[in-house]
Amino acid sequence: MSDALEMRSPDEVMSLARLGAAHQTRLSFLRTMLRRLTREGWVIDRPVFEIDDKGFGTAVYRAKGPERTYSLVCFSIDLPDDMRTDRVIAVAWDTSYALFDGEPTAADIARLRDNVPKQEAGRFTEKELVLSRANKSMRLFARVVDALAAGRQPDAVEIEEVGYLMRTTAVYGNGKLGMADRDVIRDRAELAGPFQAEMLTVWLIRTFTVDLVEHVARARAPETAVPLEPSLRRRFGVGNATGLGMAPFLVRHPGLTGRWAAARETALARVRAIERASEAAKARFPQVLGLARRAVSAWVTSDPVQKAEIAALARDLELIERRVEEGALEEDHPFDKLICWSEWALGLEGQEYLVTLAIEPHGDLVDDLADEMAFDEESTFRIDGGMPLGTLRQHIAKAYRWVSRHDYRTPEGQARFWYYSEDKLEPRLGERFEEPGAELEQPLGIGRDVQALAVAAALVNPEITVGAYLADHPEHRHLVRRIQASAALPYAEIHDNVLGARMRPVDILRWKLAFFGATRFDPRSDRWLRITLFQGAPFPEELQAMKSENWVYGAAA
Amino acid sequence: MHVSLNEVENTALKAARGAGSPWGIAEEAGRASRWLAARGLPWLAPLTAMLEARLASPVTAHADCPILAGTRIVDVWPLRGGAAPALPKAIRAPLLLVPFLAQASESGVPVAVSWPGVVAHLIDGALQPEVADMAALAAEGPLAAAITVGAAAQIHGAAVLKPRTGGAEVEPQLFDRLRGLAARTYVPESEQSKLKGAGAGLLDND
Repeated sequence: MSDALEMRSPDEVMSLARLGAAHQTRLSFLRTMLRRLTREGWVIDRPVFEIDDKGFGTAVYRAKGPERTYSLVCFSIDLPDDMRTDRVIAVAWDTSYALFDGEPTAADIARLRDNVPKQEAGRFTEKELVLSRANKSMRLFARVVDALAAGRQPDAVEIEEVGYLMRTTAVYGNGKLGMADRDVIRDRAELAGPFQAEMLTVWLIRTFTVDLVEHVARARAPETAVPLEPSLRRRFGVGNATGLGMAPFLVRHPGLTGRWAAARETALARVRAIERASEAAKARFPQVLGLARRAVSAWVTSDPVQKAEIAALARDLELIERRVEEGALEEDHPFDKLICWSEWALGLEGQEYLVTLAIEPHGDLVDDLADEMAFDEESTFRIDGGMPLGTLRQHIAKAYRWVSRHDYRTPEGQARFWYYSEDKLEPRLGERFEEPGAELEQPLGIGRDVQALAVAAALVNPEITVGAYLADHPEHRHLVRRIQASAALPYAEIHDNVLGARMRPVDILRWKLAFFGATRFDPRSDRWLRITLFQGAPFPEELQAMKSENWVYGAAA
Repeated sequence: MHVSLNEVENTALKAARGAGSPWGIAEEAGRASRWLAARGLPWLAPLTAMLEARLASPVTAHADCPILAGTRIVDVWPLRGGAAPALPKAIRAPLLLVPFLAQASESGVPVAVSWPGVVAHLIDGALQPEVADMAALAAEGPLAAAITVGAAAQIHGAAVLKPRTGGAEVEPQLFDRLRGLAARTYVPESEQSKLKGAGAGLLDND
């Protein structure tokens, strides 16, 4: 089927501007994780909750699936206010977490207590899959405790403004700090998809945050305290502050980038190929659209650029609604026509939201694509040394035409360089012509470097092999590997200049976070942003009762 | 000290880059180290010694580098007429050649590499080592090694050394030396980069 589908072009899909307008879809990782847990009837309980009256201590949440059990081990400490920072320079946090493979013994928990609160300064083993930490939203946490202790529900408007009781500042996996390598979990169906262990961790953290706030309220006023009303309780997601460190990930992992984008674009293409909208889709599309309009009107940011984008998106959603009222879903190829119309009628945020809306009612048609979003980088590591250089040049000419749109020789064309800072071992962005260190830049300037390779290779006999060429030019080896791998991955590259003076790292962060399933993007500068995960999502005991997934768009249940 | 295979690979990659390797060669050093560590082989000492030697004499052509030699062999594999590839007269850390020859042997042609005290047989990507002298596995060299191909590389009855998940144990002082090489790829913090580089706010008590 997919052969005949018409896909949006990589040039269009992978521009920085469009990456920066991405929205979650039903293929987003937190949604695929929750769907699996629901489908497989996972049981979550809380075998340990040794938390004192002030809210400090240890808790364990246990998630039991059909084949395996995972445990979130939680530590909550009394953190002085002056140590509470979301920046990567922090050394202590209100709460810290490890996702443990199986059920921890008392000795495991003791070992984790010595290491998890220290985060990067701790060491871990192959029994730990994910490490994370979260700081309280102090004001909201205190207000919610006050209200519940006094026997009343907290103010819904205040909750909506913040959206979470705690925000994570890092979620580490994949062998960091001695933890389990991806090899350990790759063949487990429940963790084979991208970031599934991380998503499970954050979802369990969310449960801990609301359990904690209720516990503290109850401890303060056992006579009067009330628990959170369930629909209000669901309005708490988990916040997240995401900085620059995440941006190079997509450039460093073209296989994953390519797979994620291809899955979403294939889903869209399948939906566009529908000749007549089903009755179910005709009912669901306007329903979700209505919810989305409300959700967008509640999307708060202090960033003036994003604020304007949200306002434009609200107008665009209204335009989509008008089209639907005029009978857009009754026409033949209704979704294809809507998408074509959107390309001239709507802004990028609106166009991308329409992609989300079009895919949403078609789970039967697209949900299988979630299984195609992992990528084994080992499979493309080996260089095909026997390939003639002429063939490599053809690959470049075909898949990397975009590199010639930028002039990398001008100061603007390579104003920036990506590097690792000695201090925190985190990726950073420097100004090439103002700061020292450009000679240590990371190999992320793909456009510039592919162009240099193309120029160099153009002067060489096209019949010599890539292997022979690389024997004399090992400096091009990483690019040749990348170019050969991308032949089967049309969406593997960001079709833009990530060294350019006008590049906004938040555009890259936004795209990745949308694939995680984040909402309420709140840029705090051009290089970090806050988001919310799981806002409105079911809690463990609500999974079976909330299968519609309308919660993603702010539906109460 | 316990490290994950991902840490092995990333630290080796950065260290090779820190010692002056091109990125693509550094990637190969990382992947080869991971391959060896997954089989419990002593990758760390020979790699570190080899990279430190590279750093000490950056002007030589690195003719004795096992990573460069390994990539050259595997890139042009299989050789015309089934000939065994030539190695430089002397090679450093010959154990680091093994992962490359394992790749080459996936083509179905058995390969073996030998140096004093060790013969490593590679058949369909799997390693069957014959080790007369355990210390020789981690030999730093430079020393003479030889490759054989085809029937001459076969062995019967030797156990296959299988990879396992679960990370590796490393000697902390030695791993710190490798990290020291990796640190050469980091840019020191300046006041300007602190303010601009990461771009986040200060305290977040809201």
